[in-house]
Amino acid sequence: MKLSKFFMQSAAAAALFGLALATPSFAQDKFPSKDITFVVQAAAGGASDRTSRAIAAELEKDLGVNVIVENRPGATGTVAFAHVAEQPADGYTIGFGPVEFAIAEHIGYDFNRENYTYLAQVMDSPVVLAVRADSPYNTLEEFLEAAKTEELSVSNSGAASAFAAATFTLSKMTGAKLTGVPFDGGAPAVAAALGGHVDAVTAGAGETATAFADGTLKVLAIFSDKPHPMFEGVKTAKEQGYDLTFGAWGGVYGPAGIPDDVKEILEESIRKAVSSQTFLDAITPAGILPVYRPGDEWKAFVDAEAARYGEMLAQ
Amino acid sequence: MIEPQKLASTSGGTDVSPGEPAAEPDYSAKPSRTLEIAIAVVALVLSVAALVLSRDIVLRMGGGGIDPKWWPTMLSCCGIALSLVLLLQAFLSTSSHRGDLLAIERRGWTRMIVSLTLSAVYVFAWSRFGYVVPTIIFTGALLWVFGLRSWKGLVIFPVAVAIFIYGLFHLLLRVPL
Amino acid sequence: MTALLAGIGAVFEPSVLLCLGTGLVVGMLVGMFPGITATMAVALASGFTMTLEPVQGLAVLLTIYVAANFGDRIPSILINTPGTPASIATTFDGYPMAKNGEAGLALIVSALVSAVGILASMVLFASASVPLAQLALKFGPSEMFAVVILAMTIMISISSSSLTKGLLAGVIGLFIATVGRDPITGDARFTFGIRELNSGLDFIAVIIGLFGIAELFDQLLTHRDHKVQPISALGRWWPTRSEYKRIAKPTVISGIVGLIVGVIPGAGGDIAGLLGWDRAKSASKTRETFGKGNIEGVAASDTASSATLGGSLTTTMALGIPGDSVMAVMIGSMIIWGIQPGPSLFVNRPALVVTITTIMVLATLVTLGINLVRMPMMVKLLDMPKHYIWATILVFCIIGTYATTNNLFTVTVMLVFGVIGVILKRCSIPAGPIVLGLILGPLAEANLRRTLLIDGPAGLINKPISAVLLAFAVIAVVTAIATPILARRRQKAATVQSN
Repeated sequence: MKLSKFFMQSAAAAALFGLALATPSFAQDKFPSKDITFVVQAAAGGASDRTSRAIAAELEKDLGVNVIVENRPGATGTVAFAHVAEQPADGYTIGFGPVEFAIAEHIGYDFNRENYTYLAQVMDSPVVLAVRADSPYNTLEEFLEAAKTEELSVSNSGAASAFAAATFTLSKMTGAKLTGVPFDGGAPAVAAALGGHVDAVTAGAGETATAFADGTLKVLAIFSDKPHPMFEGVKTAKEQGYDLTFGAWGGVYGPAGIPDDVKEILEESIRKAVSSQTFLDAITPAGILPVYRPGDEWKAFVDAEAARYGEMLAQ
Repeated sequence: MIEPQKLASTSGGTDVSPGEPAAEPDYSAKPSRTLEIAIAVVALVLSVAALVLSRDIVLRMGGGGIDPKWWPTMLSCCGIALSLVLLLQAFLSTSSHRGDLLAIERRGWTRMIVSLTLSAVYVFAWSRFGYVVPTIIFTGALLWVFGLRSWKGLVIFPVAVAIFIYGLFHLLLRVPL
Repeated sequence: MTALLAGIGAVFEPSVLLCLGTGLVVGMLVGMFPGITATMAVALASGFTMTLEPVQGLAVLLTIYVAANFGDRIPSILINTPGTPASIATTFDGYPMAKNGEAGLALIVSALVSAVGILASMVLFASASVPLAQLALKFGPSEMFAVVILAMTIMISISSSSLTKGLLAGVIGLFIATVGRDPITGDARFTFGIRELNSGLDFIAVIIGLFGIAELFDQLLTHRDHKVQPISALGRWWPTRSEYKRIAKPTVISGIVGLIVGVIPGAGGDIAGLLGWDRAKSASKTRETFGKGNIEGVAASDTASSATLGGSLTTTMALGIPGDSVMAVMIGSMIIWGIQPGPSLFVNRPALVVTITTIMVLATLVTLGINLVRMPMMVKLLDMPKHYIWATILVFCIIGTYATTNNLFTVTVMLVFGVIGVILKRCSIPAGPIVLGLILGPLAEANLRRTLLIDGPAGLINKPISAVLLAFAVIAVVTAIATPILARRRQKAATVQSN
């Protein structure tokens, strides 16, 4: 019987396979001695996933063990955050911590920033404000001035995101009448601006770069400390007199209580990864800037951001 | 369940016409007015519950106008209206037939409930003991419940399935199981 | 001319052909697996292709895209489980055909028309990308809302036995879709304190539950050992001359539907398949057998959903705005390779556009060839004894769903919807409208509210496209309600006369 032959062959393969699995990995005292799991809070394919996989690849080279990327999307990332918090604090489970670390607690999620060990910030994707090429506005000033007399609509990539907060804060700060229109992701938000359905868009640098390069979108301001290499000639909001920075930043974290020696090894390895050329090549074309802050500094930054978003989202 | 003869005879869903001697027994599901009424009542209760829940949505920023409550409220009202129509139809209509549904078999309930329970246990065991062993046991148990009794099949097939899946996901796609 | 030759020539390098083969294998494997979408496969593969040359990488990713689209149809037809949302409409007629012993015919027709759909859309991509993309930009929130309302009228035609139950099913779907965070304000709705519910019920888990698991449970409930199950009977493979003639019309009609829907950003193969099926049904002479195993239904749904591939490629390449979720991942990879999608791509790098077209066409033809050869093997799998088939379906559905989120909660959702699905099935409440509601609900609500935010109520009617589409929707509803009433009145008049 053919079927049974198929089964016998599979069984043989299984035996071989089992043998391969059973090969003992020798336990070592020094960290790391086994595979590391890197939890990503978004589905495969986005900016968080891309950055995480680039970091994981570098960590793999540096630490000499497998770093397995695990996507656990859902609930603004808090599914992944909660999962990591429940894992043993031995450094073998780490994850990607995005700007939602500062936002989640303010929009009704069960999330506590103190439940984590902060290893390092690795990236920042600044928010930009852009209008269609044929729009009458050429500077942030002109745009806000116009919004004082008539209501202008500004699309963004989603409710209660850093992008939505940027619009909201801008209008609160200046008294301009801006209506935030949340879309399901950055790309449709940009498309709405390109199609002239909204007056402007706040989106990530990467999402607007294509249209900017093609000349179909004018970028009025970039909400970052320093100019962005992809947007030549675009001034920061600060340079135009509005001291505001917004970014979809991210870093690497683990469960609270990772021992100091393990933490040091990871921090050092992440620092090397962020400055590596492969990492740069993987993230900069997508408009993401490499930003390194060591754990303690990043934690302070997260706390400051959380306080800021708390004010912005409380209304 | 009440199955009025009148309904059965006017049913359009049976393939075997009563005149000819049936080559095989008629297994199609019998129409039932009670069932139709029960469906409508359950739909009505659920729609009302949905309406109550919709009004109870907590808003962070205050509502009014077209707020997050508006769309679910409208939908549950539609649900209530449709359930009422369904209830009316169940009382008035005589032509309810059940398409090509087959009648439930005696052992069917056991088969379904056991495999559902096994799946639940499997999901729990997977979270506790990892992928490999629970998958093999689960597949084997399902085969046994579905009527396989040859020990070769009960052992080899589950192992083969577990390995194929492990190879495809864990090794090829690098989805950790 | 040189661009044309250079573009085609770039594909026929041994290394590129090898990449094409790799993509083919991965794509066909994942396409068959319920739950594993092309998006996921492309995203995971893009990790490996980053270091390749652009043309090689494009060969891998685009071939996965094409091959998965073909493979998708197989579980829809054989076990009533849509591999991805794009093949939902395939189950309407594909699975009944398989139950009637025509699985082979359904699979072959599905493969043939899928190829026709992709090739037709590639012609459009190669010839008219830039103007089409400009058209796509015209679709803002109010236009999208109108499209969605028009699509909702399909609920009437996919409600097979009872219109009331069909509409009720549609409302159930629309309501289930509201679970999660509100799209405009971010408020939690019906999450009952369960963290995972904040992102809504996982769409793939729900459709696998409602279709695949519910069908499996129904079989478990009703299977009788001595009753002949015709599903594994192979039947015929190739359509007869008259069948080719029959599928010509639905293929053309739904192909046009698919091409149009494909260009609209945010509307993909799922909506196209359903719309195409609906349009073909209303134009068919045998419309009463649609949904009961009509070969025209399979031809219509698969042409339409496959014809969206070129459309999403168009918006992606000519605007830099992803036409669907696979393309969103692809854009990320292309930017890394230094390819900047947008109108300038067609001016500055015409050879690359030719290369992309060539890869898509080649991948389609090779996949079609392999599918035609492997179909008999696929159907033979169903000749295995029932216990093997049932156990395999259940295990594969569980693993496939798990892989979408790596979270057992998603598996639980699938099983719960399997139970709900079998209950609804026993109550003759159709699953089709539920899924339609699930797809369209969030689009309808979010786009309506966006329109109101931007322009107020006037926004719905002061734009020509949305006004026309909404008028069509009204006409569709009125005719759907009026037709049976008029028919009944005519019948009554006839009986009165004869008396």
